[in-house]
Amino acid sequence: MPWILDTKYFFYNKDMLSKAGFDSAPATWDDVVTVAKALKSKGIVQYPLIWSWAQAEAVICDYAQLLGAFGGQFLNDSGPAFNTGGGLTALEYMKQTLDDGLTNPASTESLETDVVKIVSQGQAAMALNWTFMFSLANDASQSQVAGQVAVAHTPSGPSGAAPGCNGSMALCISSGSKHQDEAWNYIQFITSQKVQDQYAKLSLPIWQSSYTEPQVVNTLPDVVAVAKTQLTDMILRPQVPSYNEASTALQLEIQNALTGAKTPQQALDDAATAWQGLLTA
Amino acid sequence: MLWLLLPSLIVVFGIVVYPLGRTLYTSFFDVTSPFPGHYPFVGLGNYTRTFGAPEFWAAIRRTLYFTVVSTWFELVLGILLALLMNIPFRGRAILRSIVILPWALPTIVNGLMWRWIFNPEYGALNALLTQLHVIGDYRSWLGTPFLALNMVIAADVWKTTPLAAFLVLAGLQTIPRELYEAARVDGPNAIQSFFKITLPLLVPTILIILVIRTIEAFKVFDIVYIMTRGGPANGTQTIAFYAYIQAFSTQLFGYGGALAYVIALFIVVFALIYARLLRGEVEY
Repeated sequence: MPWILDTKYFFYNKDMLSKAGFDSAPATWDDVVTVAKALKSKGIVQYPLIWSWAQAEAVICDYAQLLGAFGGQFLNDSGPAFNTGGGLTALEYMKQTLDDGLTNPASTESLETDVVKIVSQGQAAMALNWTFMFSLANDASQSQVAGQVAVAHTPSGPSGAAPGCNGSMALCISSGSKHQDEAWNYIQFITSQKVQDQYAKLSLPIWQSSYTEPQVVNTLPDVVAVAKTQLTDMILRPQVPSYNEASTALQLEIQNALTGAKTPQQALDDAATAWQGLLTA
Repeated sequence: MLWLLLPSLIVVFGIVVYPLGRTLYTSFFDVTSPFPGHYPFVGLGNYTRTFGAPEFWAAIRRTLYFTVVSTWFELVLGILLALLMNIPFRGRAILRSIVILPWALPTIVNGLMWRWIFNPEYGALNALLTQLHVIGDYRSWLGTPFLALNMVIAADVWKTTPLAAFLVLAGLQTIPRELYEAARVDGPNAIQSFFKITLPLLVPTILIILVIRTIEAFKVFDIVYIMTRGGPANGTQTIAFYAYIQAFSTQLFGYGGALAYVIALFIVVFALIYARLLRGEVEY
């Protein structure tokens, strides 16, 4: 049963962007590079981009979102497919922004909360992150750039695809449970529209009609407006039996490419070989 | 009256013997989930898999590097601090209490503190080094594999040097003053008397520090978990962290159990070597 809906949105500092001459969020990932180069050359911010690329699930989420935009696939009928096409372009894009000094080198040690802090310190202009970032980065007690951080649909790739990484959660009842009816009652309660609408500030409701409900819209008007389109446009991380192991292998190889130990092609080929072993095991 | 021993027996068997036995038992099966069920018996399969895995040897190499470098620094800095604390001067008591502080901090607090110090954007290290003009720009300290490993070592050295310092201090106080007074007849300088008298007599203490520290460092887990989670690109993945990932993230509990026993085996080997060394102490 769906419980929490979340995806990675594109956050940007509108004051910094307007200083560089841009009045709206970049629409494509190429535009992101253009904006970042302008921000850097005008000395507005040293590293315009910050990402959660630490060796953790977080790096897979950012990678999945770029892979989707560049038209890649994690798997196809014959097995791992992220080492060709969009999957490869995505990693090359990530590495290129690091090499060009557009991405903060601290990205390879940062998690999502670090991204919030660095944007809140005014030391980055653009980032991908979950819903929770909007309230934190605009909270004057925790952020030096409160009121400047805007949210937008994630940028698109060459084909126009712009899916957000699906970070939603669902509730299940195990077949061995001795209290299945009670569990189901509880699930019905916490996923009910009434309860979900009350917690909209932390997590947007799973109910479509909630997105026109004043109680929800008024809590986070900016996010709700973007969420209406972004939540219908999402990419799933691959559904494989030993997901943790597959994810760990891919995290390692993405980091090998980002830290320069391997080329993106070599790193993804090695990850694909590891996945092949897992999928056939 | 034997029943009075019952609580301690329950504790010993419940939280020491049972988990040890259970881990050993699990390590002979291909357990792939936390749920009870029937898993195939693989004999020593998990153990042979351990020694055949390149990631295992890579983690062992990193762990040995961590162990040797951190123990070496802790020992050298510990001896220097102990010599300082052994000199009578005003404020010595205050110095001694300050030196013990890092040791008193829980590792989790220490790890978080150093993560903040090393933070590239708002960390104290970057601020200090740029203001002293040692580096021009802020740097990422935990963002590249080998540098990150060395920075974790630095955090570990800061935390554990006091232990070495206080053990050496205790050792220094057992050296009879008469030895130095007798030596003065021959007129050695301070450095000569340190290497000819102090250091040889500290050998037993140094060996004990080596035993404690290498064994502790070889098992290092918590500071890695807090500071880097083994990243970037596995650069700080020590052997204990590798075992943790295999058991609790990948959920290969049998393989993880085998790894735990292999780590224990390495430590037993260390302990045996040290036990032999300790028997051949210097006597004056």
